[in-house]
Amino acid sequence: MLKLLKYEWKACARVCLPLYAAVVLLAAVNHLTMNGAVQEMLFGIPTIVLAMLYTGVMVAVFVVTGVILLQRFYKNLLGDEGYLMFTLPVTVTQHIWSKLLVAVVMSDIATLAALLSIGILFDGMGAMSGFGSLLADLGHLFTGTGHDLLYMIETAVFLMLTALTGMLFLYLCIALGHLAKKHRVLMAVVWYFVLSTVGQSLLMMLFIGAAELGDPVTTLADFVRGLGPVAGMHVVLLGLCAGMAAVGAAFFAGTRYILKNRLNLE
Amino acid sequence: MEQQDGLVVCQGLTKRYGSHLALDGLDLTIGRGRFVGLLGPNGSGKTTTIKLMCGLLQPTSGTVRIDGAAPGVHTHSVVSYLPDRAYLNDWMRVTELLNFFADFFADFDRVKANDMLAALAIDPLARLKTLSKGTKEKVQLILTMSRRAQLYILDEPIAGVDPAARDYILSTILANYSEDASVLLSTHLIADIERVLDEVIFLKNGALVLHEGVDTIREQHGKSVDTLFREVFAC
Repeated sequence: MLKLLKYEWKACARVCLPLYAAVVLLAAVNHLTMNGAVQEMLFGIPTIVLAMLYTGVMVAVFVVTGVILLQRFYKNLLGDEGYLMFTLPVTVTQHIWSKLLVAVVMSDIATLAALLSIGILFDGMGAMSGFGSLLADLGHLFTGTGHDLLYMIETAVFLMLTALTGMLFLYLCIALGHLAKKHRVLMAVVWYFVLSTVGQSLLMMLFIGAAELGDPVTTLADFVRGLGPVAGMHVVLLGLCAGMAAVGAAFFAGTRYILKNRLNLE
Repeated sequence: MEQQDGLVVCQGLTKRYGSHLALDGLDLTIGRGRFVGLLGPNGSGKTTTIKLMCGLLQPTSGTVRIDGAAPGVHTHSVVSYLPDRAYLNDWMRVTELLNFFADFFADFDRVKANDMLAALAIDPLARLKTLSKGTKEKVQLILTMSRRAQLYILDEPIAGVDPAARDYILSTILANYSEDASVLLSTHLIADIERVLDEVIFLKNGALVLHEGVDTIREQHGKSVDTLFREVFAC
Protein backbone atom coordinates (compact mmCIF):
# COMPACT_ATOMS: atom_id res chain seq x y z
CA MET A 1 0.00 0.00 0.00
CA LEU A 2 2.82 2.39 0.91
CA LYS A 3 4.52 1.63 -2.40
CA LEU A 4 1.32 2.36 -4.30
CA LEU A 5 0.99 5.63 -2.41
CA LYS A 6 4.60 6.50 -3.19
CA TYR A 7 4.17 6.08 -6.95
CA GLU A 8 0.76 7.73 -6.96
CA TRP A 9 2.19 10.73 -5.12
CA LYS A 10 5.13 10.94 -7.55
CA ALA A 11 2.84 10.80 -10.57
CA CYS A 12 0.61 13.62 -9.29
CA ALA A 13 3.26 15.76 -7.58
CA ARG A 14 5.51 16.01 -10.65
CA VAL A 15 2.81 18.05 -12.42
CA CYS A 16 0.90 19.67 -9.56
CA LEU A 17 3.60 20.88 -7.17
CA PRO A 18 5.48 23.06 -9.71
CA LEU A 19 2.14 24.65 -10.57
CA TYR A 20 1.39 25.38 -6.90
CA ALA A 21 4.87 26.87 -6.47
CA ALA A 22 4.28 28.99 -9.60
CA VAL A 23 1.01 30.45 -8.30
CA VAL A 24 2.61 31.42 -4.97
CA LEU A 25 5.64 32.90 -6.76
CA LEU A 26 3.48 34.84 -9.22
CA ALA A 27 1.44 36.20 -6.33
CA ALA A 28 4.64 37.52 -4.74
CA VAL A 29 5.76 39.12 -8.03
CA ASN A 30 2.30 40.64 -8.55
CA HIS A 31 2.35 42.02 -5.02
CA LEU A 32 5.62 43.82 -5.80
CA THR A 33 4.39 45.21 -9.13
CA MET A 34 1.17 46.49 -7.56
CA ASN A 35 2.89 49.35 -5.74
CA GLY A 36 2.81 52.82 -7.31
CA ALA A 37 6.20 53.24 -9.00
CA VAL A 38 6.38 49.86 -10.70
CA GLN A 39 2.71 49.92 -11.63
CA GLU A 40 3.24 52.92 -13.96
CA MET A 41 6.27 51.44 -15.70
CA LEU A 42 5.87 50.94 -19.48
CA PHE A 43 2.27 52.23 -19.33
CA GLY A 44 1.43 49.54 -16.79
CA ILE A 45 1.66 46.76 -19.39
CA PRO A 46 3.95 44.46 -17.34
CA THR A 47 1.61 44.77 -14.36
CA ILE A 48 -1.42 43.84 -16.45
CA VAL A 49 0.41 40.93 -18.11
CA LEU A 50 1.57 39.62 -14.73
CA ALA A 51 -1.91 39.96 -13.27
CA MET A 52 -3.35 38.04 -16.22
CA LEU A 53 -0.66 35.42 -15.86
CA TYR A 54 -1.45 35.03 -12.17
CA THR A 55 -5.17 34.63 -12.92
CA GLY A 56 -4.38 32.06 -15.59
CA VAL A 57 -2.13 30.02 -13.31
CA MET A 58 -4.69 30.26 -10.50
CA VAL A 59 -7.36 28.77 -12.79
CA ALA A 60 -4.83 26.18 -13.95
CA VAL A 61 -4.15 25.12 -10.35
CA PHE A 62 -7.72 23.88 -9.97
CA VAL A 63 -8.32 22.71 -13.54
CA VAL A 64 -5.04 20.80 -13.79
CA THR A 65 -5.41 19.29 -10.30
CA GLY A 66 -8.93 18.12 -11.16
CA VAL A 67 -7.91 16.72 -14.54
CA ILE A 68 -4.78 15.00 -13.19
CA LEU A 69 -6.62 13.36 -10.30
CA LEU A 70 -9.40 12.02 -12.52
CA GLN A 71 -6.98 11.07 -15.26
CA ARG A 72 -4.84 9.14 -12.78
CA PHE A 73 -7.82 6.94 -11.95
CA TYR A 74 -9.05 6.58 -15.52
CA LYS A 75 -5.75 6.21 -17.37
CA ASN A 76 -3.69 4.40 -14.75
CA LEU A 77 -6.35 1.84 -13.86
CA LEU A 78 -8.77 1.65 -16.77
CA GLY A 79 -6.46 2.58 -19.66
CA ASP A 80 -3.54 0.56 -21.03
CA GLU A 81 -1.57 1.09 -17.81
CA GLY A 82 -4.28 -0.99 -16.10
CA TYR A 83 -2.66 -4.07 -17.71
CA LEU A 84 0.26 -3.53 -15.35
CA MET A 85 -1.57 -2.12 -12.34
CA PHE A 86 -4.13 -4.94 -12.13
CA THR A 87 -1.43 -7.60 -12.48
CA LEU A 88 0.59 -6.25 -9.53
CA PRO A 89 0.32 -8.35 -6.38
CA VAL A 90 -1.98 -5.86 -4.64
CA THR A 91 -5.73 -5.78 -4.06
CA VAL A 92 -8.31 -3.62 -5.79
CA THR A 93 -9.11 -2.08 -2.38
CA GLN A 94 -5.48 -0.94 -2.07
CA HIS A 95 -5.59 0.57 -5.56
CA ILE A 96 -8.68 2.63 -4.74
CA TRP A 97 -7.33 3.79 -1.37
CA SER A 98 -3.98 4.86 -2.83
CA LYS A 99 -5.67 6.93 -5.53
CA LEU A 100 -8.20 8.37 -3.09
CA LEU A 101 -5.79 9.44 -0.36
CA VAL A 102 -3.37 11.12 -2.75
CA ALA A 103 -6.28 12.85 -4.52
CA VAL A 104 -7.65 14.31 -1.29
CA VAL A 105 -4.24 15.40 -0.02
CA MET A 106 -3.39 16.97 -3.39
CA SER A 107 -6.71 18.86 -3.46
CA ASP A 108 -5.97 20.18 0.03
CA ILE A 109 -2.50 21.35 -1.02
CA ALA A 110 -4.02 23.04 -4.09
CA THR A 111 -6.52 24.90 -1.87
CA LEU A 112 -3.81 25.92 0.60
CA ALA A 113 -1.53 27.14 -2.22
CA ALA A 114 -4.40 29.18 -3.70
CA LEU A 115 -5.31 30.74 -0.33
CA LEU A 116 -1.68 31.47 0.46
CA SER A 117 -1.18 33.10 -2.94
CA ILE A 118 -4.24 35.34 -2.44
CA GLY A 119 -2.88 36.32 0.99
CA ILE A 120 0.53 37.14 -0.47
CA LEU A 121 -1.02 39.07 -3.34
CA PHE A 122 -2.77 41.48 -1.02
CA ASP A 123 -0.59 41.43 2.03
CA GLY A 124 2.88 40.37 0.88
CA MET A 125 4.91 38.69 3.57
CA GLY A 126 2.21 39.72 6.06
CA ALA A 127 0.22 36.78 4.72
CA MET A 128 3.00 34.46 5.75
CA SER A 129 2.90 35.71 9.32
CA GLY A 130 -0.90 35.71 9.21
CA PHE A 131 -0.76 32.11 8.06
CA GLY A 132 1.66 31.38 10.90
CA SER A 133 -0.57 33.00 13.52
CA LEU A 134 -3.56 31.06 12.16
CA LEU A 135 -1.64 27.84 12.68
CA ALA A 136 -0.64 29.05 16.15
CA ASP A 137 -4.31 29.77 16.97
CA LEU A 138 -5.22 26.28 15.81
CA GLY A 139 -2.45 24.96 18.04
CA HIS A 140 -3.95 26.83 21.01
CA LEU A 141 -7.30 25.25 20.31
CA PHE A 142 -5.74 21.82 20.47
CA THR A 143 -4.04 22.54 23.77
CA GLY A 144 -7.33 23.76 25.22
CA THR A 145 -10.08 21.45 26.33
CA GLY A 146 -13.82 21.67 26.04
CA HIS A 147 -16.40 21.40 23.36
CA ASP A 148 -14.99 23.97 20.93
CA LEU A 149 -12.12 21.63 20.23
CA LEU A 150 -14.45 18.67 19.83
CA TYR A 151 -16.76 20.62 17.50
CA MET A 152 -13.76 21.57 15.43
CA ILE A 153 -12.52 18.00 15.21
CA GLU A 154 -15.99 16.74 14.31
CA THR A 155 -16.35 19.42 11.64
CA ALA A 156 -12.90 18.60 10.27
CA VAL A 157 -13.79 14.90 10.13
CA PHE A 158 -17.04 15.75 8.36
CA LEU A 159 -15.22 17.90 5.80
CA MET A 160 -12.64 15.17 5.26
CA LEU A 161 -15.36 12.55 4.79
CA THR A 162 -17.15 14.91 2.38
CA ALA A 163 -13.96 15.27 0.31
CA LEU A 164 -13.40 11.49 0.27
CA THR A 165 -17.03 10.80 -0.64
CA GLY A 166 -16.96 13.45 -3.38
CA MET A 167 -13.90 11.84 -4.95
CA LEU A 168 -15.38 8.35 -4.58
CA PHE A 169 -18.50 9.55 -6.36
CA LEU A 170 -16.37 10.59 -9.34
CA TYR A 171 -14.53 7.24 -9.25
CA LEU A 172 -17.85 5.41 -9.21
CA CYS A 173 -19.05 7.39 -12.26
CA ILE A 174 -15.82 6.55 -14.14
CA ALA A 175 -16.17 2.87 -13.14
CA LEU A 176 -19.81 2.80 -14.28
CA GLY A 177 -18.79 4.45 -17.56
CA HIS A 178 -16.27 1.61 -17.99
CA LEU A 179 -19.15 -0.88 -18.13
CA ALA A 180 -20.15 0.52 -21.53
CA LYS A 181 -18.68 -1.10 -24.62
CA LYS A 182 -17.93 2.21 -26.32
CA HIS A 183 -17.69 5.92 -25.44
CA ARG A 184 -16.68 5.14 -21.88
CA VAL A 185 -15.66 8.69 -20.95
CA LEU A 186 -18.93 10.06 -22.30
CA MET A 187 -20.84 7.39 -20.37
CA ALA A 188 -18.98 8.38 -17.19
CA VAL A 189 -20.23 11.97 -17.69
CA VAL A 190 -23.75 10.67 -18.33
CA TRP A 191 -23.58 8.61 -15.12
CA TYR A 192 -22.36 11.69 -13.25
CA PHE A 193 -25.43 13.69 -14.25
CA VAL A 194 -27.82 10.78 -13.76
CA LEU A 195 -26.54 9.93 -10.28
CA SER A 196 -26.30 13.60 -9.23
CA THR A 197 -29.93 14.13 -10.24
CA VAL A 198 -31.06 10.91 -8.56
CA GLY A 199 -29.13 11.84 -5.40
CA GLN A 200 -30.67 15.32 -5.24
CA SER A 201 -34.15 13.92 -5.83
CA LEU A 202 -33.67 11.33 -3.09
CA LEU A 203 -32.48 14.01 -0.68
CA MET A 204 -35.48 16.17 -1.50
CA MET A 205 -37.83 13.21 -1.07
CA LEU A 206 -36.15 12.46 2.24
CA PHE A 207 -36.84 15.97 3.52
CA ILE A 208 -40.43 15.98 2.26
CA GLY A 209 -40.93 12.46 3.62
CA ALA A 210 -39.43 13.45 6.96
CA ALA A 211 -41.76 16.46 7.19
CA GLU A 212 -44.76 14.25 6.50
CA LEU A 213 -43.68 11.50 8.85
CA GLY A 214 -44.64 13.70 11.75
CA ASP A 215 -44.33 11.83 15.01
CA PRO A 216 -41.03 9.93 14.57
CA VAL A 217 -39.27 13.10 13.35
CA THR A 218 -40.73 15.16 16.21
CA THR A 219 -39.61 12.48 18.65
CA LEU A 220 -36.09 12.55 17.17
CA ALA A 221 -35.96 16.35 17.28
CA ASP A 222 -37.23 16.31 20.87
CA PHE A 223 -34.59 13.75 21.77
CA VAL A 224 -31.80 15.93 20.34
CA ARG A 225 -33.27 19.03 21.99
CA GLY A 226 -33.53 17.13 25.26
CA LEU A 227 -29.80 16.48 25.20
CA GLY A 228 -29.20 20.20 25.54
CA PRO A 229 -27.44 22.48 23.02
CA VAL A 230 -23.94 21.13 23.70
CA ALA A 231 -24.59 17.40 23.46
CA GLY A 232 -27.24 17.99 20.77
CA MET A 233 -24.66 19.69 18.54
CA HIS A 234 -22.31 16.73 18.98
CA VAL A 235 -25.07 14.30 18.04
CA VAL A 236 -25.91 16.31 14.92
CA LEU A 237 -22.27 16.58 13.82
CA LEU A 238 -21.56 12.90 14.49
CA GLY A 239 -24.79 11.97 12.72
CA LEU A 240 -23.67 13.95 9.66
CA CYS A 241 -20.27 12.20 9.78
CA ALA A 242 -21.92 8.77 9.99
CA GLY A 243 -24.27 9.62 7.10
CA MET A 244 -21.44 10.86 4.90
CA ALA A 245 -19.28 7.83 5.80
CA ALA A 246 -22.13 5.50 4.85
CA VAL A 247 -22.59 7.20 1.46
CA GLY A 248 -18.80 7.13 0.88
CA ALA A 249 -18.65 3.44 1.82
CA ALA A 250 -21.43 2.68 -0.67
CA PHE A 251 -19.54 4.51 -3.46
CA PHE A 252 -16.35 2.66 -2.50
CA ALA A 253 -18.11 -0.72 -2.54
CA GLY A 254 -19.67 0.01 -5.95
CA THR A 255 -16.34 1.07 -7.46
CA ARG A 256 -14.55 -1.92 -5.95
CA TYR A 257 -17.18 -4.35 -7.25
CA ILE A 258 -16.88 -3.04 -10.80
CA LEU A 259 -13.05 -3.00 -10.82
CA LYS A 260 -12.88 -6.47 -9.29
CA ASN A 261 -15.66 -8.28 -11.11
CA ARG A 262 -16.54 -6.31 -14.22
CA LEU A 263 -13.12 -5.12 -15.34
CA ASN A 264 -12.80 -5.26 -19.12
CA LEU A 265 -9.76 -3.32 -20.32
CA GLU A 266 -9.81 -2.46 -24.00
CA MET B 1 -2.37 -33.80 -22.45
CA GLU B 2 -3.70 -33.87 -18.87
CA GLN B 3 -0.93 -33.66 -16.34
CA GLN B 4 -0.90 -34.04 -12.60
CA ASP B 5 0.14 -31.06 -10.52
CA GLY B 6 -0.65 -28.61 -13.31
CA LEU B 7 0.76 -25.12 -12.98
CA VAL B 8 -2.27 -23.85 -14.88
CA VAL B 9 -5.60 -25.66 -14.64
CA CYS B 10 -8.68 -24.39 -16.49
CA GLN B 11 -11.98 -26.18 -16.01
CA GLY B 12 -14.99 -25.38 -18.14
CA LEU B 13 -13.62 -21.87 -18.58
CA THR B 14 -16.23 -19.79 -20.38
CA LYS B 15 -16.39 -16.10 -21.22
CA ARG B 16 -19.37 -14.48 -22.84
CA TYR B 17 -19.54 -10.83 -23.92
CA GLY B 18 -23.26 -10.16 -24.24
CA SER B 19 -24.41 -12.62 -26.91
CA HIS B 20 -20.89 -13.32 -28.15
CA LEU B 21 -19.26 -16.46 -26.80
CA ALA B 22 -15.52 -15.65 -26.68
CA LEU B 23 -14.42 -18.78 -24.84
CA ASP B 24 -16.46 -21.95 -24.68
CA GLY B 25 -15.84 -24.37 -21.79
CA LEU B 26 -12.06 -24.56 -22.02
CA ASP B 27 -10.53 -27.52 -20.17
CA LEU B 28 -6.77 -27.18 -20.08
CA THR B 29 -3.79 -28.19 -17.94
CA ILE B 30 -0.29 -26.84 -18.40
CA GLY B 31 2.52 -28.45 -16.44
CA ARG B 32 5.73 -26.98 -15.11
CA GLY B 33 8.83 -26.51 -17.22
CA ARG B 34 6.94 -26.34 -20.52
CA PHE B 35 7.18 -23.90 -23.41
CA VAL B 36 3.66 -23.72 -24.76
CA GLY B 37 2.39 -21.96 -27.85
CA LEU B 38 -1.18 -20.65 -27.66
CA LEU B 39 -2.12 -20.54 -31.30
CA GLY B 40 -5.15 -19.53 -33.26
CA PRO B 41 -6.39 -16.99 -35.76
CA ASN B 42 -7.63 -13.55 -34.73
CA GLY B 43 -10.73 -13.74 -32.57
CA SER B 44 -10.12 -17.35 -31.56
CA GLY B 45 -10.03 -16.52 -27.82
CA LYS B 46 -6.26 -16.35 -27.18
CA THR B 47 -6.23 -12.94 -25.50
CA THR B 48 -9.45 -13.70 -23.61
CA THR B 49 -7.84 -16.87 -22.21
CA ILE B 50 -4.75 -14.93 -21.20
CA LYS B 51 -6.75 -12.11 -19.61
CA LEU B 52 -8.75 -14.65 -17.60
CA MET B 53 -5.50 -16.25 -16.38
CA CYS B 54 -4.18 -12.82 -15.37
CA GLY B 55 -7.37 -11.81 -13.55
CA LEU B 56 -8.02 -8.98 -16.00
CA LEU B 57 -11.37 -10.58 -16.81
CA GLN B 58 -13.73 -12.64 -14.68
CA PRO B 59 -15.10 -15.84 -16.25
CA THR B 60 -18.81 -16.16 -17.01
CA SER B 61 -18.50 -19.72 -15.73
CA GLY B 62 -15.79 -22.27 -14.99
CA THR B 63 -12.52 -21.77 -13.14
CA VAL B 64 -8.87 -21.06 -13.75
CA ARG B 65 -6.21 -21.84 -11.15
CA ILE B 66 -2.53 -21.02 -11.32
CA ASP B 67 -0.16 -22.57 -8.80
CA GLY B 68 -3.28 -23.77 -6.99
CA ALA B 69 -4.94 -20.37 -6.61
CA ALA B 70 -7.57 -18.38 -8.44
CA PRO B 71 -6.17 -15.23 -10.12
CA GLY B 72 -5.38 -12.72 -7.38
CA VAL B 73 -2.55 -11.39 -5.28
CA HIS B 74 -0.76 -14.78 -5.10
CA THR B 75 -0.95 -15.58 -8.80
CA HIS B 76 0.15 -12.03 -9.68
CA SER B 77 3.28 -12.62 -7.64
CA VAL B 78 4.18 -15.79 -9.58
CA VAL B 79 3.00 -14.83 -13.08
CA SER B 80 5.03 -12.49 -15.24
CA TYR B 81 2.73 -11.08 -17.90
CA LEU B 82 3.56 -9.23 -21.09
CA PRO B 83 0.42 -7.80 -22.74
CA ASP B 84 0.05 -7.15 -26.45
CA ARG B 85 0.30 -3.37 -26.02
CA ALA B 86 2.37 -0.57 -24.47
CA TYR B 87 1.36 -0.69 -20.81
CA LEU B 88 4.07 1.37 -19.12
CA ASN B 89 3.60 5.02 -18.24
CA ASP B 90 5.91 6.99 -20.47
CA TRP B 91 6.95 9.76 -18.08
CA MET B 92 9.22 7.45 -16.07
CA ARG B 93 12.86 6.81 -16.83
CA VAL B 94 13.84 3.21 -17.60
CA THR B 95 15.69 2.96 -14.30
CA GLU B 96 12.59 4.22 -12.45
CA LEU B 97 10.60 1.45 -14.10
CA LEU B 98 13.18 -1.02 -12.83
CA ASN B 99 12.66 0.43 -9.32
CA PHE B 100 8.90 0.09 -9.78
CA PHE B 101 9.18 -3.59 -10.71
CA ALA B 102 11.68 -4.24 -7.90
CA ASP B 103 9.30 -2.58 -5.42
CA PHE B 104 6.29 -4.67 -6.37
CA PHE B 105 7.77 -7.99 -7.48
CA ALA B 106 9.97 -9.78 -4.97
CA ASP B 107 11.25 -12.04 -7.76
CA PHE B 108 12.56 -9.16 -9.90
CA ASP B 109 16.25 -9.54 -10.73
CA ARG B 110 17.69 -6.06 -11.24
CA VAL B 111 21.14 -7.33 -12.23
CA LYS B 112 19.65 -9.41 -15.00
CA ALA B 113 17.57 -6.44 -16.17
CA ASN B 114 20.59 -4.14 -16.26
CA ASP B 115 22.59 -6.75 -18.18
CA MET B 116 19.88 -7.02 -20.80
CA LEU B 117 19.56 -3.22 -21.07
CA ALA B 118 23.32 -3.00 -21.61
CA ALA B 119 23.25 -5.80 -24.20
CA LEU B 120 20.63 -3.89 -26.18
CA ALA B 121 22.35 -0.51 -25.63
CA ILE B 122 19.26 0.99 -23.96
CA ASP B 123 20.09 4.00 -21.80
CA PRO B 124 18.68 3.38 -18.29
CA LEU B 125 18.31 7.12 -17.78
CA ALA B 126 16.18 7.63 -20.88
CA ARG B 127 12.56 8.53 -20.38
CA LEU B 128 10.25 6.01 -21.98
CA LYS B 129 8.54 8.65 -24.13
CA THR B 130 11.85 9.41 -25.86
CA LEU B 131 12.29 5.80 -26.97
CA SER B 132 11.11 4.32 -30.27
CA LYS B 133 8.17 1.92 -30.33
CA GLY B 134 10.47 -1.06 -30.86
CA THR B 135 12.76 -0.05 -27.99
CA LYS B 136 9.77 0.38 -25.69
CA GLU B 137 8.69 -3.15 -26.55
CA LYS B 138 12.19 -4.38 -25.71
CA VAL B 139 12.06 -2.59 -22.34
CA GLN B 140 8.73 -4.28 -21.59
CA LEU B 141 10.16 -7.65 -22.53
CA ILE B 142 13.25 -7.07 -20.38
CA LEU B 143 11.10 -6.15 -17.38
CA THR B 144 8.91 -9.21 -17.90
CA MET B 145 11.77 -11.65 -18.38
CA SER B 146 13.86 -10.25 -15.50
CA ARG B 147 11.43 -11.76 -13.02
CA ARG B 148 12.07 -15.24 -11.65
CA ALA B 149 8.44 -16.15 -12.15
CA GLN B 150 6.79 -19.56 -12.26
CA LEU B 151 4.76 -18.72 -15.32
CA TYR B 152 5.50 -16.23 -18.11
CA ILE B 153 2.46 -15.26 -20.13
CA LEU B 154 3.49 -13.46 -23.29
CA ASP B 155 0.77 -12.12 -25.56
CA GLU B 156 2.03 -11.58 -29.10
CA PRO B 157 5.57 -10.61 -28.02
CA ILE B 158 7.00 -10.82 -31.52
CA ALA B 159 4.15 -9.46 -33.61
CA GLY B 160 5.35 -5.88 -33.99
CA VAL B 161 9.11 -6.26 -34.35
CA ASP B 162 11.47 -6.94 -37.22
CA PRO B 163 12.85 -10.48 -37.84
CA ALA B 164 16.26 -9.65 -36.30
CA ALA B 165 14.65 -8.37 -33.12
CA ARG B 166 12.35 -11.41 -33.18
CA ASP B 167 15.37 -13.72 -32.93
CA TYR B 168 16.77 -11.67 -30.07
CA ILE B 169 13.44 -11.73 -28.24
CA LEU B 170 13.10 -15.49 -28.59
CA SER B 171 16.64 -16.11 -27.40
CA THR B 172 16.01 -13.69 -24.49
CA ILE B 173 12.91 -15.62 -23.52
CA LEU B 174 14.68 -18.97 -23.80
CA ALA B 175 17.70 -17.79 -21.83
CA ASN B 176 15.72 -16.25 -19.02
CA TYR B 177 13.20 -18.73 -17.76
CA SER B 178 14.18 -21.34 -15.27
CA GLU B 179 13.67 -25.07 -15.78
CA ASP B 180 10.64 -25.45 -13.55
CA ALA B 181 8.93 -22.36 -14.93
CA SER B 182 6.61 -22.45 -17.91
CA VAL B 183 6.09 -20.06 -20.78
CA LEU B 184 2.73 -19.57 -22.44
CA LEU B 185 3.21 -17.59 -25.62
CA SER B 186 0.41 -16.52 -27.92
CA THR B 187 1.12 -15.72 -31.54
CA HIS B 188 0.02 -16.37 -35.07
CA LEU B 189 3.61 -16.28 -36.36
CA ILE B 190 4.09 -20.00 -35.83
CA ALA B 191 7.05 -20.67 -38.08
CA ASP B 192 9.17 -18.28 -36.03
CA ILE B 193 8.59 -19.99 -32.72
CA GLU B 194 8.06 -23.61 -33.73
CA ARG B 195 11.64 -24.63 -32.93
CA VAL B 196 11.34 -23.55 -29.28
CA LEU B 197 7.94 -25.05 -28.45
CA ASP B 198 7.32 -28.13 -26.28
CA GLU B 199 3.59 -28.19 -26.86
CA VAL B 200 0.89 -26.28 -28.70
CA ILE B 201 -2.69 -25.32 -27.99
CA PHE B 202 -4.94 -24.58 -30.97
CA LEU B 203 -7.97 -22.43 -30.29
CA LYS B 204 -10.76 -21.89 -32.80
CA ASN B 205 -13.89 -19.82 -32.18
CA GLY B 206 -13.25 -19.97 -28.45
CA ALA B 207 -12.94 -23.75 -28.28
CA LEU B 208 -9.94 -26.02 -27.81
CA VAL B 209 -9.17 -27.81 -31.08
CA LEU B 210 -5.89 -29.45 -30.16
CA HIS B 211 -3.43 -29.67 -27.27
CA GLU B 212 -0.43 -31.80 -28.17
CA GLY B 213 3.30 -32.06 -27.72
CA VAL B 214 5.20 -30.76 -30.73
CA ASP B 215 7.09 -34.07 -31.04
CA THR B 216 3.80 -35.97 -31.06
CA ILE B 217 2.49 -33.78 -33.86
CA ARG B 218 5.59 -34.42 -35.93
CA GLU B 219 5.48 -38.18 -35.24
CA GLN B 220 1.75 -38.82 -35.54
CA HIS B 221 0.81 -36.28 -38.17
CA GLY B 222 4.15 -36.30 -39.94
CA LYS B 223 4.07 -32.55 -40.42
CA SER B 224 5.23 -29.34 -38.83
CA VAL B 225 3.06 -27.33 -36.45
CA ASP B 226 2.90 -24.56 -39.05
CA THR B 227 1.58 -26.95 -41.71
CA LEU B 228 -0.93 -28.51 -39.32
CA PHE B 229 -2.09 -25.03 -38.27
CA ARG B 230 -2.70 -24.03 -41.87
CA GLU B 231 -4.74 -27.22 -42.42
CA VAL B 232 -6.82 -26.85 -39.25
CA PHE B 233 -7.52 -23.17 -39.79
CA ALA B 234 -7.84 -23.22 -43.59
CA CYS B 235 -10.34 -20.60 -44.73
